[in-house]
Amino acid sequence: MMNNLLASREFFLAILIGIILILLGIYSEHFFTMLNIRGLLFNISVYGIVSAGMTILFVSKGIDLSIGTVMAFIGVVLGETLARGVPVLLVIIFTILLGAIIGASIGVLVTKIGINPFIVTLAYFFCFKGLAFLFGLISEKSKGQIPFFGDFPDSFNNIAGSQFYGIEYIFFYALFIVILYHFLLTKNKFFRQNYFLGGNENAARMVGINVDFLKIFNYSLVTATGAIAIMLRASRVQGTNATFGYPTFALIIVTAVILGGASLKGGVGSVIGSFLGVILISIIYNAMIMMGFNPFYTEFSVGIILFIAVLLDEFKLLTNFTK
Amino acid sequence: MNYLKNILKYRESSLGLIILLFIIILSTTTDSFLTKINLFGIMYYLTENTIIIGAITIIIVSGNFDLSVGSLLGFSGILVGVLMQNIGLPIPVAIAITLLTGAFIGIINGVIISYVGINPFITTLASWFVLLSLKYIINNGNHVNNLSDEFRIISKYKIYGIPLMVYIAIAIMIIFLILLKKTKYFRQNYYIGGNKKAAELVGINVKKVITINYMLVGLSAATAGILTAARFRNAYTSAGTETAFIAIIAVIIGGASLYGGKGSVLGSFLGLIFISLVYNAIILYGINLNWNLLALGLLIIVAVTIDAFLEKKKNTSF
Repeated sequence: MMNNLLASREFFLAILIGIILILLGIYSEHFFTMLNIRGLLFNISVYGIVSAGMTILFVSKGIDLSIGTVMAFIGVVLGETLARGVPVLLVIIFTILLGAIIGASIGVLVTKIGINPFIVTLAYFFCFKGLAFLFGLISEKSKGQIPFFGDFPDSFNNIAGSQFYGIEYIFFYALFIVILYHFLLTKNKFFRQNYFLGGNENAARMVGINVDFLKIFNYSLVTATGAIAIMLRASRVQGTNATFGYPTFALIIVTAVILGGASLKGGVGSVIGSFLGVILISIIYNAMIMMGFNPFYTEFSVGIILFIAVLLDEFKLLTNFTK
Repeated sequence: MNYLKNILKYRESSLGLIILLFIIILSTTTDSFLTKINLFGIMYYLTENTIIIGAITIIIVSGNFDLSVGSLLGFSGILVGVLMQNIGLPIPVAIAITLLTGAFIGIINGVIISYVGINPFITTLASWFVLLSLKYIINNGNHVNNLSDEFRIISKYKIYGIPLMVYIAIAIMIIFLILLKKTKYFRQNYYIGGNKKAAELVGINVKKVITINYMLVGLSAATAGILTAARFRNAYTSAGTETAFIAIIAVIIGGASLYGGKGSVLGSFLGLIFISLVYNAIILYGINLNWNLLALGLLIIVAVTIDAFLEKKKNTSF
């Protein structure tokens, strides 16, 4: 029954996106230009990749508010290792590992020490903003300034730097990850445990699911996926900086994931839904700026969308359990 | 030795001791700690946070959170400036409207959390975000410049060399201290934080109490925002970004538990002093200010870890 609800959420989002696109086609000359669509797809890709990992975490009733600034930190480390001439393949492996380790540390604090993930990830959010900026102290390239890196080797830039029939590589990477994660979450036995875990943690434990391991894995996955996203972004824009992700990146991801059908209470969620949520938010953002709205109104609207998404979530759940 | 043991038994007194030690270390290892400029700097930093710490303590004691207090503070500062300058309202009217707005926003938070039942984290996270943007919208992203001298008096008027703002802050803190410690109405928060269902069953109007709590936070944040704006010649849009975070750490250091049911305004205030001293030490020792963010984050993890261990110990004590 929940599956049907979720299916209708994805359908609902797709219809909404369709309607907005049609309206934009009619009323805006600039929306459907190559330049604008390219920028839009870029944003959708970066948000989309991160939201895929975040969905899995939400299904298991976790949350990670630190993802924005942690990605900034990883980006800065990435820039530094590339600047020091480390081979690109090693850099990629190292960066993903770094993400996995940071994420795992969050998982350990949440499971073994038992701290509320809201608090832990909020603390990490601030910590890593500081760390990203402090990296300038030990960096060779950005000594003493706000870390900013560029001048990457061509082999790195080529990863996500080109297009395929006019559509950026990064968008294809994003599609791949979204479809992969969706497939894993819905079909793979290991990942499907998250639905049980999120639904009822004690019951999941009793059925033999290794709850602690699964949670640590999820947090690790979110940050590792974030590392992939920041790498692809760095390849596409040929740079990284320490200011990424502050203060609102994580909030946009959370909004998209909840829009897509996940709930803070856990047990539900859809990667495709989250991706549609990302698309919806990105299009609204883009459209508002194009129509000349004060840019601050667009930030404001994401907050409102979050409220609405959570309200939707709240009342849908209320109506479901009244039997 | 027994006397020392008795002091250490209480969080407030042990904190007091640590603060004393801290002050002694800072005074002896640096020349600038005991200067007027430095002490005033600490005082201003403390004051802004002290105004809201009472209300935040009550919120946490009742088992809730308010992450939006910082951006409400910033928003109030800009609002009062806009009301006075762009709209030209007289000072008392502008202040009154801003205070009412703050209280109203607090009530909205409270209603959504208690009556609609949405998670306080997400609710106050969203309102943090909304207020952040509102703050920029109402004055088109600009600071409010050249606030009138009559307005600035409410902060800067000096009695015995100390600005009025400080007296107001201490008065507000003492009011909350008495409210939480002595009044039956606010002591209900301890029960709510301890066990919400049980509190409801005993007849406490949990929803109303929580909503009032959030209204008080809104009121305090608006007050702090107004006083902060009055302190400078301009109202800055950057005010209050880390306030919620600092408040939570201070309250935890002061002995409250994130699960609710424990905590005291005095403890929170001492926690604030501790944080201010850490911040001051970072400045005095010439350490890069970004370490402060890192230190804040680490402090909260340490404090919460200890809190979690104590909670576990409590549950397995038999």
